[in-house]
Amino acid sequence: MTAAQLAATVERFGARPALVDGDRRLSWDELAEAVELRAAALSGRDIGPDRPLAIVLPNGTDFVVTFLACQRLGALAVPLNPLFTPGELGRHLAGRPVGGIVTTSEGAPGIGDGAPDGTWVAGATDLDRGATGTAPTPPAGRDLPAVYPFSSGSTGTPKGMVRTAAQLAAEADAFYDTVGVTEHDVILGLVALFHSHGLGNALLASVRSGATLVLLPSFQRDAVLAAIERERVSVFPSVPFICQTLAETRRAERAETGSLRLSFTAGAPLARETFDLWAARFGVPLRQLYGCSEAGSVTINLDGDVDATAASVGRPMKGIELAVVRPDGEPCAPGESGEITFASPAATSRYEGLSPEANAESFVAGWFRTGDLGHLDASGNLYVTGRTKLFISTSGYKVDPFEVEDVLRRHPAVADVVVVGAAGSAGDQVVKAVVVPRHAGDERALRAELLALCRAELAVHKVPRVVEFRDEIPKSPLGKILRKYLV
Amino acid sequence: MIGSAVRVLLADRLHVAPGDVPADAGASLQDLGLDSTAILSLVVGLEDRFDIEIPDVEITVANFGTVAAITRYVADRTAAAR
Repeated sequence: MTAAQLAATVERFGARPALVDGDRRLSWDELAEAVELRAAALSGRDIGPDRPLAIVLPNGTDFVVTFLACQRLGALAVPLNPLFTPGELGRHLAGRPVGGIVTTSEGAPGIGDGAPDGTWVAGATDLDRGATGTAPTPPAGRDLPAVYPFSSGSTGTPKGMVRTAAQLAAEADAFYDTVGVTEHDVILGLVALFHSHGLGNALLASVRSGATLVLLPSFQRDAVLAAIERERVSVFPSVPFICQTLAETRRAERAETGSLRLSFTAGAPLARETFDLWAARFGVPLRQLYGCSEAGSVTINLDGDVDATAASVGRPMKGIELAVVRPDGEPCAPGESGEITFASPAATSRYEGLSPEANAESFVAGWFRTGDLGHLDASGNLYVTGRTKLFISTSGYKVDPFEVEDVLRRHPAVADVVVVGAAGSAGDQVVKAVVVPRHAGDERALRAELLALCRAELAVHKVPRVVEFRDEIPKSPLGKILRKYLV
Repeated sequence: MIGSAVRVLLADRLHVAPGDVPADAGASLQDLGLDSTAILSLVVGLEDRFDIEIPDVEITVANFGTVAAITRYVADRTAAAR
């Protein structure tokens, strides 16, 4: 359990630094105190094992304290992107009622508009006001709900799932046992904690090992370089876009980054160009980690000669079984491409709101079928080569093309639309909308209207970078959209 | 000279056709989808192309909102670097 892991770390490393957030520093003892107070405050607002809490906060002390307070109470935490529009917030919470929503004290504009009736909304720092005492102990002997991540679905509706306290603890154990992070490490908490990459590989990794977590709310090159220098950051979980940009930044060469010992990316394929630039700039290899919302981290490339296997996401973490399989479920030979599947004690067992038949397509006898394509080499290194699902990887985010299409289709001038990932720089993708207008007309004006509509309805990373107008969408004789002709 | 280099970089970093970069240097680039990640990508491109350093605090709409603003900003920076 994350709560038990936190208690053990507090016991062992109480006076050592736990969190650095700007000028604010908390020891493990101080963090435990803040978590206890927040848990008491949340409990006073009826949050508990059967009443979940939505956390709509950027990376910072309040995210960490609120998330850990949920774990302390045995309450389900539903972390959501603070950049979401009210519409996106409403869609994510539609299938997962929560008791309350914690946001920044300024309050995200219009956040209450996305909240279902009867849900309270409060600023994080206001919560503790007047709270005293200790929080109730959660019921024993029950695998309590811990976190509710979302995975993009094929319908434009976000697909949510419960991961339990035991599953989160198993994820933290696997990372700890495999990667060997210790209380002497300093982890940079730059990637979003509301996402499984940041949650597992920054926050949970820190709680499990006693490593210090240095929090940054957004990607600013100077702030990242300054944090690495000042705090002597040793572990850097990241995404390819951030690494490419940092490595291209000339003044990074003058920064004191010798403390970095482990840097790794997840969420999108790592281009060889980025790998080489990073090694030249920072003198450490950039490794790849592979994971998903359903199970957290699954593999990491810790190869001693990572130069030879840079394109690989490595081997499974301890306790995880991995197989690349043919359509009939039989394992592929080394080098043979198939679907990536795994069995992990950290994985959820079902999506919420889906029929047992629909769930059976992804969860088969304790194994999760990822929908990703890949192959293993003779040494068991995994290479991810494609996706059977259609997500677009852009600047470290996953965008569901169907969600963007649903918004664009609302414009009366749009007869048909398909959203695809077009090739961007260094292996990244850009969101591209191919639109068939109802009538010929001023394309520049229509483009501006479509982008304004997207900006009102969608977080900024989902707004198409490229809008192309066509007379028709290419389709196969069976009516299947031929996406490869649209990128 | 700086203006045309900015246009080429913009098209390259935003993955749009050079013709889609507004001819009017004063037109807002927001319609091209110039969000914060795209701006960062453009910024590292400008740093490399013009051999300058652009502090993150100067990455503002005032400096990067239009082709004219970017051109002016880069001209100031290159002059300061000499």
